[in-house]
Amino acid sequence: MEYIIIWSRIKPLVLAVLVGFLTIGLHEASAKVVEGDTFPDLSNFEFEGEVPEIEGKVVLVDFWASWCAPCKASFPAMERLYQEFKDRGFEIVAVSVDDSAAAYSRFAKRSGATFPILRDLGKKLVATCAIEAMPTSFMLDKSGRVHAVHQGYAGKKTDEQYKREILALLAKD
Amino acid sequence: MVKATIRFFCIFTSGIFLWGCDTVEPWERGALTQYGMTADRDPLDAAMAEHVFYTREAAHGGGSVGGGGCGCN
Repeated sequence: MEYIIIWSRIKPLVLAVLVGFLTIGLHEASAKVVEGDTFPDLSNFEFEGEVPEIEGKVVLVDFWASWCAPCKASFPAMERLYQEFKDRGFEIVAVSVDDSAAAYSRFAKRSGATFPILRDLGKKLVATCAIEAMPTSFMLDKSGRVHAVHQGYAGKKTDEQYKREILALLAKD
Repeated sequence: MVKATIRFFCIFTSGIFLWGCDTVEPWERGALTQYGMTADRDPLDAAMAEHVFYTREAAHGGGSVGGGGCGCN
Protein backbone atom coordinates (compact mmCIF):
# COMPACT_ATOMS: atom_id res chain seq x y z
CA MET A 1 0.00 0.00 0.00
CA GLU A 2 2.81 2.35 0.93
CA TYR A 3 4.47 1.49 -2.34
CA ILE A 4 1.41 2.60 -4.31
CA ILE A 5 1.29 5.89 -2.44
CA ILE A 6 4.99 6.54 -3.11
CA TRP A 7 4.52 5.64 -6.75
CA SER A 8 1.54 7.96 -7.17
CA ARG A 9 3.71 10.78 -5.81
CA ILE A 10 6.74 10.19 -8.02
CA LYS A 11 4.76 9.25 -11.15
CA PRO A 12 4.57 12.83 -12.52
CA LEU A 13 8.33 13.24 -12.05
CA VAL A 14 9.06 9.97 -13.83
CA LEU A 15 6.75 10.97 -16.68
CA ALA A 16 8.38 14.39 -16.94
CA VAL A 17 11.85 12.82 -17.18
CA LEU A 18 10.68 10.40 -19.88
CA VAL A 19 9.02 13.16 -21.91
CA GLY A 20 12.15 15.28 -21.46
CA PHE A 21 14.37 12.52 -22.87
CA LEU A 22 12.07 12.04 -25.86
CA THR A 23 11.94 15.78 -26.56
CA ILE A 24 15.73 16.10 -26.48
CA GLY A 25 16.05 13.04 -28.73
CA LEU A 26 13.61 14.45 -31.29
CA HIS A 27 15.34 17.84 -31.21
CA GLU A 28 18.74 16.23 -31.85
CA ALA A 29 17.34 14.21 -34.73
CA SER A 30 15.81 17.27 -36.39
CA ALA A 31 18.80 19.66 -36.03
CA LYS A 32 20.05 19.65 -39.57
CA VAL A 33 20.96 22.16 -42.27
CA VAL A 34 19.01 21.59 -45.48
CA GLU A 35 18.45 23.38 -48.78
CA GLY A 36 16.85 26.77 -48.27
CA ASP A 37 18.23 27.20 -44.73
CA THR A 38 20.63 29.96 -43.85
CA PHE A 39 24.03 28.37 -43.26
CA PRO A 40 25.32 28.81 -39.69
CA ASP A 41 27.46 31.89 -39.14
CA LEU A 42 31.08 30.71 -39.19
CA SER A 43 32.09 33.40 -36.71
CA ASN A 44 30.16 31.51 -34.01
CA PHE A 45 32.47 28.51 -34.23
CA GLU A 46 36.07 27.79 -33.39
CA PHE A 47 38.48 26.78 -36.13
CA GLU A 48 42.12 26.06 -36.64
CA GLY A 49 43.01 28.25 -39.59
CA GLU A 50 41.75 31.58 -40.78
CA VAL A 51 38.10 31.96 -41.74
CA PRO A 52 37.85 33.81 -45.07
CA GLU A 53 35.48 36.66 -45.83
CA ILE A 54 32.46 35.04 -47.46
CA GLU A 55 29.82 37.75 -47.33
CA GLY A 56 28.26 38.39 -50.72
CA LYS A 57 30.08 35.44 -52.28
CA VAL A 58 29.00 32.11 -53.68
CA VAL A 59 30.55 29.64 -51.26
CA LEU A 60 31.22 25.94 -51.27
CA VAL A 61 31.56 24.65 -47.70
CA ASP A 62 33.08 21.20 -47.86
CA PHE A 63 33.38 18.87 -44.87
CA TRP A 64 36.32 16.53 -45.28
CA ALA A 65 38.74 14.40 -43.26
CA SER A 66 42.19 13.00 -43.86
CA TRP A 67 40.83 9.48 -43.24
CA CYS A 68 38.15 9.82 -45.93
CA ALA A 69 39.39 8.80 -49.38
CA PRO A 70 36.61 10.41 -51.48
CA CYS A 71 37.06 13.66 -49.55
CA LYS A 72 40.70 13.77 -50.54
CA ALA A 73 39.86 12.80 -54.13
CA SER A 74 37.67 15.90 -54.44
CA PHE A 75 40.48 18.35 -53.66
CA PRO A 76 42.04 18.62 -57.16
CA ALA A 77 38.60 19.32 -58.65
CA MET A 78 37.83 21.92 -55.98
CA GLU A 79 41.19 23.58 -56.65
CA ARG A 80 40.36 23.78 -60.36
CA LEU A 81 36.98 25.36 -59.58
CA TYR A 82 38.59 27.78 -57.16
CA GLN A 83 41.16 28.89 -59.72
CA GLU A 84 38.49 29.29 -62.37
CA PHE A 85 35.93 31.26 -60.33
CA LYS A 86 37.69 32.91 -57.38
CA ASP A 87 38.00 36.24 -59.17
CA ARG A 88 34.28 36.26 -59.91
CA GLY A 89 33.16 36.02 -56.29
CA PHE A 90 33.46 32.33 -55.53
CA GLU A 91 34.97 30.99 -52.32
CA ILE A 92 35.68 27.52 -50.97
CA VAL A 93 35.81 26.76 -47.26
CA ALA A 94 37.14 23.26 -46.71
CA VAL A 95 36.35 22.26 -43.12
CA SER A 96 38.23 19.30 -41.73
CA VAL A 97 36.63 17.14 -39.05
CA ASP A 98 39.93 15.48 -38.16
CA ASP A 99 40.69 14.78 -34.51
CA SER A 100 44.37 14.78 -35.28
CA ALA A 101 45.82 18.21 -35.96
CA ALA A 102 48.92 16.54 -37.42
CA ALA A 103 46.93 14.45 -39.92
CA TYR A 104 44.93 17.53 -40.88
CA SER A 105 47.93 19.75 -41.53
CA ARG A 106 49.84 16.95 -43.26
CA PHE A 107 47.09 16.52 -45.84
CA ALA A 108 46.37 20.24 -46.09
CA LYS A 109 50.01 20.84 -47.03
CA ARG A 110 50.32 17.85 -49.33
CA SER A 111 47.13 18.65 -51.24
CA GLY A 112 48.61 21.89 -52.57
CA ALA A 113 45.19 23.54 -52.26
CA THR A 114 45.19 27.33 -52.33
CA PHE A 115 41.62 27.73 -51.04
CA PRO A 116 41.02 28.22 -47.29
CA ILE A 117 41.24 25.05 -45.24
CA LEU A 118 40.07 24.99 -41.63
CA ARG A 119 39.74 22.42 -38.87
CA ASP A 120 36.48 22.35 -36.95
CA LEU A 121 37.65 22.41 -33.33
CA GLY A 122 35.25 20.47 -31.16
CA LYS A 123 33.34 19.48 -34.32
CA LYS A 124 30.60 21.90 -33.43
CA LEU A 125 29.92 23.18 -36.94
CA VAL A 126 29.67 19.70 -38.41
CA ALA A 127 27.40 18.64 -35.55
CA THR A 128 25.19 21.67 -36.19
CA CYS A 129 24.96 20.79 -39.88
CA ALA A 130 24.35 17.13 -38.93
CA ILE A 131 25.76 15.76 -42.15
CA GLU A 132 24.87 12.21 -43.10
CA ALA A 133 27.94 11.18 -45.10
CA MET A 134 31.54 12.08 -45.68
CA PRO A 135 32.23 14.16 -47.66
CA THR A 136 29.26 16.52 -47.63
CA SER A 137 29.37 19.95 -49.20
CA PHE A 138 26.99 22.89 -49.05
CA MET A 139 26.72 25.27 -51.97
CA LEU A 140 25.70 28.66 -50.59
CA ASP A 141 24.30 31.55 -52.57
CA LYS A 142 25.44 35.15 -52.14
CA SER A 143 23.04 35.68 -49.24
CA GLY A 144 24.44 32.71 -47.30
CA ARG A 145 21.47 30.47 -47.98
CA VAL A 146 22.01 26.79 -48.79
CA HIS A 147 21.34 26.30 -52.49
CA ALA A 148 22.34 22.63 -52.66
CA VAL A 149 23.69 19.87 -50.45
CA HIS A 150 26.04 17.30 -52.00
CA GLN A 151 26.58 13.99 -50.23
CA GLY A 152 29.64 11.99 -51.22
CA TYR A 153 31.87 12.70 -54.16
CA ALA A 154 31.12 11.07 -57.52
CA GLY A 155 34.05 12.48 -59.53
CA LYS A 156 33.14 14.09 -62.84
CA LYS A 157 29.40 14.03 -62.12
CA THR A 158 29.85 16.05 -58.91
CA ASP A 159 32.34 18.40 -60.61
CA GLU A 160 29.81 19.18 -63.32
CA GLN A 161 27.06 19.77 -60.75
CA TYR A 162 29.35 22.15 -58.83
CA LYS A 163 30.19 24.07 -61.98
CA ARG A 164 26.56 24.36 -63.08
CA GLU A 165 25.52 25.61 -59.65
CA ILE A 166 28.41 28.08 -59.36
CA LEU A 167 27.66 29.58 -62.77
CA ALA A 168 23.95 29.88 -61.98
CA LEU A 169 24.56 31.46 -58.57
CA LEU A 170 27.22 33.88 -59.82
CA ALA A 171 24.81 35.03 -62.51
CA LYS A 172 22.21 35.94 -59.87
CA ASP A 173 22.29 39.34 -58.16
CA MET B 1 -2.85 -0.52 -10.17
CA VAL B 2 0.20 -2.63 -9.27
CA LYS B 3 0.20 -4.25 -12.70
CA ALA B 4 0.02 -0.86 -14.39
CA THR B 5 2.85 0.39 -12.21
CA ILE B 6 5.04 -2.59 -13.06
CA ARG B 7 4.26 -2.15 -16.75
CA PHE B 8 5.15 1.54 -16.55
CA PHE B 9 8.41 0.78 -14.75
CA CYS B 10 9.33 -1.75 -17.43
CA ILE B 11 8.69 0.79 -20.19
CA PHE B 12 10.56 3.48 -18.30
CA THR B 13 13.56 1.23 -17.61
CA SER B 14 13.64 0.12 -21.26
CA GLY B 15 13.55 3.78 -22.26
CA ILE B 16 16.51 4.54 -20.01
CA PHE B 17 18.53 1.66 -21.44
CA LEU B 18 17.59 2.49 -25.04
CA TRP B 19 18.68 6.06 -24.36
CA GLY B 20 22.22 4.71 -24.12
CA CYS B 21 22.09 3.50 -27.74
CA ASP B 22 23.80 5.85 -30.14
CA THR B 23 25.08 5.79 -33.67
CA VAL B 24 28.57 6.78 -34.72
CA GLU B 25 28.11 9.96 -36.71
CA PRO B 26 29.83 10.18 -40.13
CA TRP B 27 32.28 12.78 -38.86
CA GLU B 28 33.26 10.57 -35.91
CA ARG B 29 34.28 7.60 -38.01
CA GLY B 30 37.92 8.56 -38.02
CA ALA B 31 38.29 6.46 -34.88
CA LEU B 32 37.13 3.39 -36.80
CA THR B 33 39.99 3.76 -39.27
CA GLN B 34 42.62 3.39 -36.58
CA TYR B 35 44.69 0.23 -36.52
CA GLY B 36 43.35 -0.81 -33.13
CA MET B 37 39.82 -0.92 -34.53
CA THR B 38 40.75 -3.36 -37.28
CA ALA B 39 39.05 -6.71 -36.77
CA ASP B 40 41.80 -8.72 -38.52
CA ARG B 41 44.89 -6.95 -37.22
CA ASP B 42 46.47 -10.29 -36.28
CA PRO B 43 47.13 -12.10 -39.61
CA LEU B 44 47.68 -15.49 -37.92
CA ASP B 45 44.44 -15.25 -35.95
CA ALA B 46 42.58 -14.13 -39.06
CA ALA B 47 43.98 -17.07 -41.07
CA MET B 48 43.00 -19.53 -38.33
CA ALA B 49 39.48 -18.12 -38.07
CA GLU B 50 39.14 -18.24 -41.82
CA HIS B 51 40.28 -21.88 -41.80
CA VAL B 52 37.73 -22.78 -39.12
CA PHE B 53 34.88 -21.12 -41.01
CA TYR B 54 35.97 -22.76 -44.25
CA THR B 55 36.28 -26.27 -42.85
CA ARG B 56 33.18 -26.19 -40.64
CA GLU B 57 30.79 -24.05 -42.57
CA ALA B 58 32.24 -24.11 -46.09
CA ALA B 59 32.20 -20.34 -45.82
CA HIS B 60 35.09 -18.51 -47.39
CA GLY B 61 35.87 -14.80 -47.47
CA GLY B 62 33.51 -11.95 -46.79
CA GLY B 63 34.79 -11.53 -43.28
CA SER B 64 35.96 -8.00 -43.72
CA VAL B 65 35.00 -4.79 -45.44
CA GLY B 66 36.93 -2.35 -47.55
CA GLY B 67 37.11 1.38 -47.18
CA GLY B 68 38.34 3.86 -44.70
CA GLY B 69 35.38 3.77 -42.35
CA CYS B 70 33.73 6.91 -43.64
CA GLY B 71 30.76 4.94 -44.93
CA CYS B 72 31.15 6.48 -48.34
CA ASN B 73 32.48 3.60 -50.46
